[in-house]
Amino acid sequence: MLLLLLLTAINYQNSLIYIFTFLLGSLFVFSIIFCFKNMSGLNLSLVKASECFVGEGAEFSFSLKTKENQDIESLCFILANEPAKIIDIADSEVASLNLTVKALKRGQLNLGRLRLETVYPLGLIRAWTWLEFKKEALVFPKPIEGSRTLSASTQGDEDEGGVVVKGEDELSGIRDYVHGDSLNRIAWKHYAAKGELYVKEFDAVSSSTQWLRYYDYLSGDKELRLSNLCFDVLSYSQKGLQFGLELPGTTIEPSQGEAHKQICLRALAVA
Amino acid sequence: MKSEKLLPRSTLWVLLGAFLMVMVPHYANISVWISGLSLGVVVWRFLVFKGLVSYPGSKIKTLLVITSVAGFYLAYRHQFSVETAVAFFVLAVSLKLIEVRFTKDCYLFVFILLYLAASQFLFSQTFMTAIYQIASAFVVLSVLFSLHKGRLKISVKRRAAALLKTVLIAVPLVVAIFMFFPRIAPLWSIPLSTGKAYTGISDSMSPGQIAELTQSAERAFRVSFSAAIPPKNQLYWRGLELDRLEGDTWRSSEYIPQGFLGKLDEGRLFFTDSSNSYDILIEPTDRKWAYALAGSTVASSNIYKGGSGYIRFKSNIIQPTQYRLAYSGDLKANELKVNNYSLDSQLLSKYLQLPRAGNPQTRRFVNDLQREYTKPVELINYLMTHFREQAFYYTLRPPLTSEQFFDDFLFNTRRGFCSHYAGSLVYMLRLAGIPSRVVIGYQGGEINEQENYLIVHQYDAHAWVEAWLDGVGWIRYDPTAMVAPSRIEIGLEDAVKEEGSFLSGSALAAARYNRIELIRWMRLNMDSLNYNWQKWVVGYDGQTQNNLLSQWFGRISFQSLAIIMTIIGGVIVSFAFLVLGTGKKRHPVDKVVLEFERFCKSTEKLGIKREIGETPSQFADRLMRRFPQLKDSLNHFVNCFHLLQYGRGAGDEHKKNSLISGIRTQARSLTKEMLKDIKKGKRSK
Repeated sequence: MLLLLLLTAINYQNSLIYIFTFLLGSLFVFSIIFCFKNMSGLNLSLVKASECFVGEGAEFSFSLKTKENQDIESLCFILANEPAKIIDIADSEVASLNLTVKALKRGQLNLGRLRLETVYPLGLIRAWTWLEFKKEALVFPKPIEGSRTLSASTQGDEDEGGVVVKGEDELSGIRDYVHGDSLNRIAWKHYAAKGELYVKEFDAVSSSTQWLRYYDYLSGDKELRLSNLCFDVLSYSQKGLQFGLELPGTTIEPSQGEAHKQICLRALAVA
Repeated sequence: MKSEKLLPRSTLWVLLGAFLMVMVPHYANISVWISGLSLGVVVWRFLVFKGLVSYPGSKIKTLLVITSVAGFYLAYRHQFSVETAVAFFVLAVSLKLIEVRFTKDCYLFVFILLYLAASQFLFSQTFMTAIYQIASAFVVLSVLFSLHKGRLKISVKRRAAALLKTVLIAVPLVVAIFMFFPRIAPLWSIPLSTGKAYTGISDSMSPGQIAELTQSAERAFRVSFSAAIPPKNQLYWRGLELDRLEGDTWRSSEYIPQGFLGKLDEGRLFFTDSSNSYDILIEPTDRKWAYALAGSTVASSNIYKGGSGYIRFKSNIIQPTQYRLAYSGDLKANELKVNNYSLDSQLLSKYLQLPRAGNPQTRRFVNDLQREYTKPVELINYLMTHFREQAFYYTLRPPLTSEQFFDDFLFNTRRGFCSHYAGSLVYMLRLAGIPSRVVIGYQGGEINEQENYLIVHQYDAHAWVEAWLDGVGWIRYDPTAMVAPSRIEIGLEDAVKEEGSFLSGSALAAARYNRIELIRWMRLNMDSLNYNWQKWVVGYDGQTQNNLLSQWFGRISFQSLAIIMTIIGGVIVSFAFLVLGTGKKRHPVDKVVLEFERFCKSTEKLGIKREIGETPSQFADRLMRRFPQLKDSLNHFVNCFHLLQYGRGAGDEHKKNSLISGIRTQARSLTKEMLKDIKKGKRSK
């Protein structure tokens, strides 16, 4: 375009077209500067990488801050295979941004190369940068219900015999709510009556410790087994049962509660 | 996917605005129906935006394109000029406007609009045009900006400040590039003709024609003399001669080859430094005639002396052009220097040509005179006196004359203006066998006192007579000066004062209101601005550049020009890099905090540093432990601080200010006391 204008100016010996061309040219140069300055000085940190199951979206949270006296406009976050996200950050303000990446595989999920770009102010110039982050999101296996052999050898504590999943209903007492207890086990009736949270305690015998063992599952595939384990971890946790997890190379002692569930899930994710 | 984004509404508004801003000046130069179509498209696009009509289907679009192209062909098939190209551009861009739906369409559209804005300079290069077109360039660019700016609410003030800063840095950059950018000759031939009709003198003169011109206040040219401006009655700007009389119309038989395509003459070398020279800046006429005083010699390379002694341009004047002439200094002599004091037979018959018959009364009149005055000079003098002494009137509204024009005019109506008088004098002289011709051009001019130059307007158009006297040469006779001396001595305005016909047809012409001093002053100032603009900016070409730069740097080559330009440009761009893009706005730090921080700094010098996160009262407590004797004043200081910073309604602005200054004095005395204490402590040790 500028070249065309310059040609016109030369051929018609037209001073004002020369001026017009030079003006547009310098504005073009300035737009490079504006574009660069729009992005330089950005302070970006990956605050948190969330955990999720395979098939869900792992969320990466960023916090962004500009330099003093700088506004950042129309900053584009681009990940491969994901729709771009555009954000504006006002002068000395902390903005946050979540990027979701679809988790396709179990294990550590890296964000991959993140491209930051801006075409501000005129869309003629693109400033961009590639970013890579160490922080990874953990992807748990997809919970799939599976069947397992409940052979004696693989049962929980030796002497308890075949009585396994029974006895959950036998209430033995209630205790104060501790953070992390399953919602299913909260004594809602008591809550309604007294306004305080209590948790139902079940008979120690019937809630005999369960072991979830990798080799108990019938299917041969590793991923499927882990998925089955994952399903059971979730369902046991939901029911508020005590359970232990045994994986090749890792053993997690029986326990219960939200924290225990997380430990188990993480173990499954990295197994 | 991203590029398929629909155009946001806000952008569309800017786009329509930019479109109109660029197009409107073009509408004056192109066919009315294209302008109409273009405006119609804007309305259509607006209705689409409002949701009242939908986007046109492909059938309608095809139909529209076919009809427009056909219409364009019909309207412009006979010419190929700049206008044709621009008209086609306007048509195409207008049609494209319907199609701009997505953001990706915007870029091309914006570029074409910018080009169209620039092409307006082919038609007009005045200062106002420049301002307007540059403004519209910014509006066009804001289309792109509105696409890419964020959703932040940034105040208009801040945006304007950024824009202003951009412009302020761009201006020196543009000026530097403009001055140093190496000018090269046109690369290929271009259609020169703009096809535009210009007001100005034409190559024929029938009764009444110049009268139309006298109604125009447009500028014909401007002249600046190296010496003092000669008196008005000597300023006869010769344009061309009319030597053939057909019926009552005088025509020019001069043949000037007309080029169709050609390169603009890129250089104009001024090769005189004669003390008596003048520069003329002529407005476009689309002709080759250069106006000059009698006896001038060519002093610039874009003009030459034509075969019949008139100054001619090498190519048609399609943009304001400057040329220089030198003159002998003595303009008083009415005669033109000629090399050969006799005319050959061919020229003789040319300057004696007359229709065979007609105007019997005039023929008889001249016959009688010839018998009485045998010498040509005597005859001419008699005729001039005749015009002065008989009841001839100068008027811009002459009565209609019969077919025997000269009879009717000379013996019946006796009312007319320059072309009537000049035409009939030449008619009579030729009847008497004296070779003569009508010369047309301009006479006089308006002096702009501000810059001391002369403005010649279209209403200064004039016709006079040159007669050949054997052994002497061509002598100028102006019968109009006999009838209305004020026309020559003062100007047209004065000559037709009583009649009130000065620019009576153009109510808006500022020159019509010359009697109002303020308007005249403003008009002349505006003209000076435009004159300097034309001279220094529009007329800045390779030659001017060379002249100017060699004054500063000596002889300068193409390469060193480029190097200078790069250096200056680089400096400015790096300056721009430092300044642009970051706001200068400082966050208003609370005055109270500022005072407290100042206090902390002074204590730091004393060796007591406020820890990070230590509140003022904690800090004061620490100080109190160190300087127990200052306990009360420290307490007071901190209380004042708290009151100002956290106390609700610390009072009005005035009270607040006095409290703040109170804090300042307290802080000072506290530091002084502490310093004293420390010194004392040292001494006692």
